[in-house]
Amino acid sequence: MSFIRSISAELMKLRYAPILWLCFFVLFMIIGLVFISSYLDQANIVQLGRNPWERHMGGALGMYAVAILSPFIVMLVSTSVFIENHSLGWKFAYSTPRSRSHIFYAKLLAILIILVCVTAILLLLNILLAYFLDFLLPEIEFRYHKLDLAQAMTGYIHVVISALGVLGIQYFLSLRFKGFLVPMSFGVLAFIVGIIAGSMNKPFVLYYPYSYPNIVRDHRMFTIDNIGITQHGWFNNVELLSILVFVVFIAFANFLEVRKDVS
Amino acid sequence: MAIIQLKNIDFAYRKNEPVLKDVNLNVPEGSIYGFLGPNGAGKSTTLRLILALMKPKAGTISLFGEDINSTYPSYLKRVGSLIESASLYGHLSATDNLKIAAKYFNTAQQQIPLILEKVKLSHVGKKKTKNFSTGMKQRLGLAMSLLHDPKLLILDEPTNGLDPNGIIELRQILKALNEDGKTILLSSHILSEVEKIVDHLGIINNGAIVFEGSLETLQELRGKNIEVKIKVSDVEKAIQVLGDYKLKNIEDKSFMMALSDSSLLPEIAKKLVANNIDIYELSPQSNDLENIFLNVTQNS
Repeated sequence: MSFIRSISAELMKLRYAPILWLCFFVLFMIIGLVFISSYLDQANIVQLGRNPWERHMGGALGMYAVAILSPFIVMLVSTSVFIENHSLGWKFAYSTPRSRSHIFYAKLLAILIILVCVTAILLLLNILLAYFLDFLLPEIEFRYHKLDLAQAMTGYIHVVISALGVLGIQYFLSLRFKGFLVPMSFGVLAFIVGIIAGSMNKPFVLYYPYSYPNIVRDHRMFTIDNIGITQHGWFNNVELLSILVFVVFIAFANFLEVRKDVS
Repeated sequence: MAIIQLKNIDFAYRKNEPVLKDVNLNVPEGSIYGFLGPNGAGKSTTLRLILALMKPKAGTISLFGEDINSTYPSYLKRVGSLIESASLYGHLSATDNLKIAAKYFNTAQQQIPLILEKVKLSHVGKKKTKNFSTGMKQRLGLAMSLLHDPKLLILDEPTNGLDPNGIIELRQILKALNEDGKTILLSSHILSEVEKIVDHLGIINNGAIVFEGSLETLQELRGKNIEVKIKVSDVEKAIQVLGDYKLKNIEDKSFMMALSDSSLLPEIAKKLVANNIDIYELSPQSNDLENIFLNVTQNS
């Protein structure tokens, strides 16, 4: 119960204008781009015998995974921790009857909740966009095809899992550096390198977490057949590595946080 | 019974640069304890150690009769704190800041309007705290520390940024809280600010406690010892004549002299005159608590 109250306190703190704008920006940029590309490419969008939902849902997911998700996480995490540094909030939070780990994980979970919510809203808005496009361009014929919602949701879940490594690293960095600049700059730079590395179709990219959202599934943007992606039950090795990076960085960050002098 | 007890506390941010050296402190239950010292003496560090924001290199800290290592973090339920400036989320209103504190302390949100009234901020409950004045921020910080009705209140320089009216108001609030049975540990570098409300004092200088006791004990020191400024025609000769006395601040034409009793003054004057030393000034210095504080810290 107390953990839920702490998460709710963390979410309350995140009612911060830049974070809200960031979420709106991510959602409307992707939806806007999908709308523009569909509207301008209406001559090629209809393909006989193909379910238009597949292309529509895959397009938005690919854009989210390759171009948006990592920088979104970098900014979301940096801003969330920065709020605490800026308001000298640590000394208050850590002098309450909650252990440091408790607050550490409550904040982390609040960030994860925002990430999942934004992803879910994106999925929902993308479905609504399809019906809007159907209204504007009836020849796309969304209404005559069935949306495989389970498959669409699975795609988003895999992409979010593949980004957990980035989240873990960024959370660690944001807690280690009081300012905004170091974790943010590192994250943005690492993201750019991640796109380049991801497009190289080489196995080494399996050891570079900032490329994971690009390669976790075939977004039809890069060739990924040489990387060595293997399936292990429901997860592939990219997701498993992402979870591993997440766990290691979060555990290390928590270890340091518990021992930190708060001045 | 001591509600806070520090035993042989050592602390350093860096090796070989001790900030606290063998600090012992006893804050009696039900007291208003003034923790005094010049800037950089180690006051805030000591308070942070009590709140477990930092860990001592040696020694033990007990609160409510138990070692804080064994009761962390639950002992903090009974502690309210305001360390230096208040920790406020500027993008949120005063009420929202208090809601966050209420969630951490498992306190009912119905307390929020009452506490805002107590610190006279009811009229700005919905205003974003980034638009608050320093005094309002301090009062809101105090409200956050009082929200869960703690037994012990730890306030680090709470008068920072307050105007004279604000300081008087804060004193009244603290007195009322103490009458309600709360123990208050209050740090400051200005004795005159706290002497009107404290009943116990601890003075820290260069990381070491140089005085601890009741206000009466400190006031007794004031009664016994006096300092005299003496301006004479020949300082060197006067030093020889008064060789048995403790002299300090020796300048070209004057020096200071510490006396255990003011009845010695005529004898000193006679001695100087008998040795053909002209006296231009012989003035006992005001010996209020402020001077005692300065003496204690300068001589340590």
